[in-house]
Amino acid sequence: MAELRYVGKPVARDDAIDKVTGAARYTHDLAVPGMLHAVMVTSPHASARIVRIDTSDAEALPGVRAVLTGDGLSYRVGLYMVDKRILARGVVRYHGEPVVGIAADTIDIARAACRLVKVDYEPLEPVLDPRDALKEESPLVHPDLETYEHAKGVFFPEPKTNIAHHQRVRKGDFDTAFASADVTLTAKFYNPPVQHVPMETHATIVQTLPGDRAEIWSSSQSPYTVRHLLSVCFGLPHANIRVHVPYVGGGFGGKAGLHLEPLAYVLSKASGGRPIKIVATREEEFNTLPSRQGLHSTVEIGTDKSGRIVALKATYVWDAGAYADYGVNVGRAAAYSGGGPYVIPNCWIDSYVVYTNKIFGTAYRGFGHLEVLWGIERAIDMMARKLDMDPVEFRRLNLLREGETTITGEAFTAGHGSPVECLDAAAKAIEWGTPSEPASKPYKVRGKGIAMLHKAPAMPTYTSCAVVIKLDEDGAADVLVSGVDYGQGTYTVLKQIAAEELRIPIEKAHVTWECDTAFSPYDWQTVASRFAYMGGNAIIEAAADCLRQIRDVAGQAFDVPPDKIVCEDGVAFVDGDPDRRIPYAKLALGYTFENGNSIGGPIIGHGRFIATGLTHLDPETGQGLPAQYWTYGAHAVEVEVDTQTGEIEVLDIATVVDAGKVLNPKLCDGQVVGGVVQGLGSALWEEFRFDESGRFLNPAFVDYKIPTAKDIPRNTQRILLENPQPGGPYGARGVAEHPMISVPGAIGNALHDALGIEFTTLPLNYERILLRILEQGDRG
Amino acid sequence: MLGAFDYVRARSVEEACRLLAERDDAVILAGGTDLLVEVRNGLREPKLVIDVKAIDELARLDPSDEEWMIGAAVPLNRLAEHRAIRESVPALADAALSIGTYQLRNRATLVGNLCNASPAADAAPVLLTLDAKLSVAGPKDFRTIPIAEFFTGVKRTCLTDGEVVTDIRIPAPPQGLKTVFFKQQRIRGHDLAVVNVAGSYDPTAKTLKVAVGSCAPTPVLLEPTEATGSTAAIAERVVELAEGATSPISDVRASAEYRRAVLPVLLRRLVDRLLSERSGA
Repeated sequence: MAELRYVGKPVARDDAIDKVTGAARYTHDLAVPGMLHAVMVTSPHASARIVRIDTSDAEALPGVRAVLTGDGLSYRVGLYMVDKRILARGVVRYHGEPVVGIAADTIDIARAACRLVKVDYEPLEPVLDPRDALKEESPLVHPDLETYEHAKGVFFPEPKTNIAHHQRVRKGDFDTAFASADVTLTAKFYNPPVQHVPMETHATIVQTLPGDRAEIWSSSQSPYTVRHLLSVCFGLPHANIRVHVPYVGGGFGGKAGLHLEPLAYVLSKASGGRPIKIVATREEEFNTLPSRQGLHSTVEIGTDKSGRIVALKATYVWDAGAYADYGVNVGRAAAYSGGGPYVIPNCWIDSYVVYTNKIFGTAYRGFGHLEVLWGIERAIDMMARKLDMDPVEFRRLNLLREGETTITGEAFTAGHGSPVECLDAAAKAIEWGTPSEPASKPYKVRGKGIAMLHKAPAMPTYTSCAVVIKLDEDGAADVLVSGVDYGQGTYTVLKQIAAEELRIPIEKAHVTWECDTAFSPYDWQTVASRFAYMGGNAIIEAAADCLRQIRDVAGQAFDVPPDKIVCEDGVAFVDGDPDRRIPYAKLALGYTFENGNSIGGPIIGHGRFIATGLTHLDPETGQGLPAQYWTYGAHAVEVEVDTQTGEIEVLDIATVVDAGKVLNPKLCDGQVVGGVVQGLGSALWEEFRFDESGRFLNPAFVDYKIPTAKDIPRNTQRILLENPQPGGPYGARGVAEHPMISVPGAIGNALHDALGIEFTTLPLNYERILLRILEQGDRG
Repeated sequence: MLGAFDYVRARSVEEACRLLAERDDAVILAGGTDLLVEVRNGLREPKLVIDVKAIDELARLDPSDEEWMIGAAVPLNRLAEHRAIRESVPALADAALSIGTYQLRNRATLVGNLCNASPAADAAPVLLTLDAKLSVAGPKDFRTIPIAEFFTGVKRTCLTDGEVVTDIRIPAPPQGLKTVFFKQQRIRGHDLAVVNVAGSYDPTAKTLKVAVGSCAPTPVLLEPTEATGSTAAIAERVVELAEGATSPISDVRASAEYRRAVLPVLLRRLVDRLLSERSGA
């Protein structure tokens, strides 16, 4: 390949100036003529029967245009399990669930009307711990589970239980191998539910139009999924629904799928077609919109004397909350990668996604992998100690490598990249094996820890996307996509690829910053670290389509075969005769000869990509090919702990990811630092707190702490390896989610190194650390 | 988002007091960083908001030879950046800078932090150790309240109807006074205190004053201690006094157990820092 001009270069992000000047328009900023504002009355109970709702005073308030309760709405919504009402009907299943929707002329009137609504509840016994929810005597969150529509053959709800999905992985003979293992370990771990906390809370505007049409603006990661799910929910043809996605202020998985749009739709219907805007308050973002699921895990590992893993069993019990949403797919994805990036000849995994009366779970950066790898990577460290082996040596001995197979039977090849190189780079980055410098105070101690990570995109076997490139009068290119750049930087990368492939200066490549299902071609969803990979491939194909048209017309103009035309720097010329040249500007809309005759026509290229070779997983064994590609990596940290207050400081954190090819080093750096800080949040501070009745206690930043600028580690090292991915654009793999995945595991391991204490519960906040230190002191 | 209320920008302390006394649904607005949150969350529904930021005398920040005066409208950043305060009572600057974020501190005031009367008020412990007094204007007359008498409970003060705190007075710090403020937070960035402590040590009088926040319904000033004997022994006396004077509770921020564990640690470090350079120690 010729030397790359733009791909792999630190091109500045495309959206930076719009964002820092305030020119970027978000759904929050938009208003549509005639627009009403809607507010929700939400449940104060985790589980209750709705005895009576009196909305008469609210309806009588001047300026109120529509008041809806669940009783008037027969629709059910859901992504994989159609288990949710737009507004609660008969019962409420979590504290924060929407019960009444009110649209009014102003937000203040809508809020005042909400205060006039009287709802009588009969509180029921809530199901709060998913392990209790599995017991036979547990109340059922969804007694009619067997009647729900769901994605059959992929998800397996168990009627008359709280199990929304049970994913199995079976390889070899775990029981026999574990029984004959020389050394064994069993350990339990816990991750609490956490929030995405995007800067922009969920917002939507929906206007229903004559002829069963609807126009929607939404802060969404998934314009086509919003369209499809609304189409299914309301029985509308797809073409009748138009979804716009302007700038989006962060998503992290929380804006995939369908959220406030259906409520805005029915309120618009109820108010005679007025546009309805709903903007989640920060409290609603915590309390009403979905979170990351909690997880209880049990990990059992058996090795031979040399330290080789012979058997691994993991039981994952996910706290799905009240509705399945993406949770069932998280439980599925985290099962097929639920043993970590290791060679496991005998593997047994059960992943149960369990309904409870809590805020429901959804996709969240890492899609279950941070949660399962917290347990696996801690257990690997514990196992190494049992074997009296160095944790890095133990990992190196067992990591996946060429010639081995994964737990679902996939052959590991050189194209997967190198977990071993990731491990070695991480170890080197923190001088593994060399003791830490002395701590800064006598009452402080230091420690080092390492953890591996891996993840593949969790997506349907038929996931696809398309790209359209239109050439402008001046020879510039407009790229239309409907994957969303909600901050991760993909549009900048796509622009680089478009400029590279079209052979035009980068200033002339543009990705359109508003998705519109009326014009932008199909993309499944912007999740799973697959947009640069799939969109990049589609752009390469679309650019080739444009160049074919350019060569065709230029060839006719010069009366040479198209393959004699060379394209360079926005100019088409005859090979070996560069004076016979035409700039793209003279070809973009068609070529005109001197006598006025014209040929060609506007150049529009189209490219597409579909996942290839993926298979459904066998329902009994989980065997199959779930992954378009895998991305491997590792984290290494050095921490310092104040043994008297429990305060922990991350002095140094190295993130290693085998990126295949770094498409834009500057943006990759940003992804890594952002991921590390978000991972620190999960590791050290973030958790939903509930009281014993299931009420949510910390729905605001006062008491739900996320890292601030002052909490960024002193040193963050970014190490990106480039073992190319076959089939990836320029050899690239997805890297978006990975930089946060094993931050908790590495910190947990470093804490053991520093304190000699095995932490198994997140978050590792100062209080938890100190109380464990004191407990250890009491034990002497 | 907010309920409807009238807003008045008072031009004088007298006007503010009169309006406050006339209406029992009126509140004073200084920085507003506590008030507006409470109004938004429906905890207060004032019908009249009296803004005191435009009253010139309340904007005074005046460290003179005998007494320092900090007006009720002085924002925390202005206080913390004041050179004399940073040099003479660094603990006050440290405490001010530990409140909220930089942007919030451009609005939030020292007096407001006290009037909000949170048990965790970061400014309170330092001011307790400095014998600060609050100047209070009422509908009829003025009075002065020692800060140790100001707090009467969680979110409660001894102010009566129509009273407005106009400034804080601090006796000019004696030569060589050492002050220290320590705060245990949940993260390194802005946070409310899990435990906060402040101390002042006067090397001439050889007295040590220590105050504790977030461990009782109000910030607590411990009995002053004579700084004689070993630093470690003095620290243990202070720890003992603190244990007798506080009653930490469990809440969403921390458990009582954690607060009880951290309080003596912060106190020992505080005493050590205050007395470490003591002559003859």
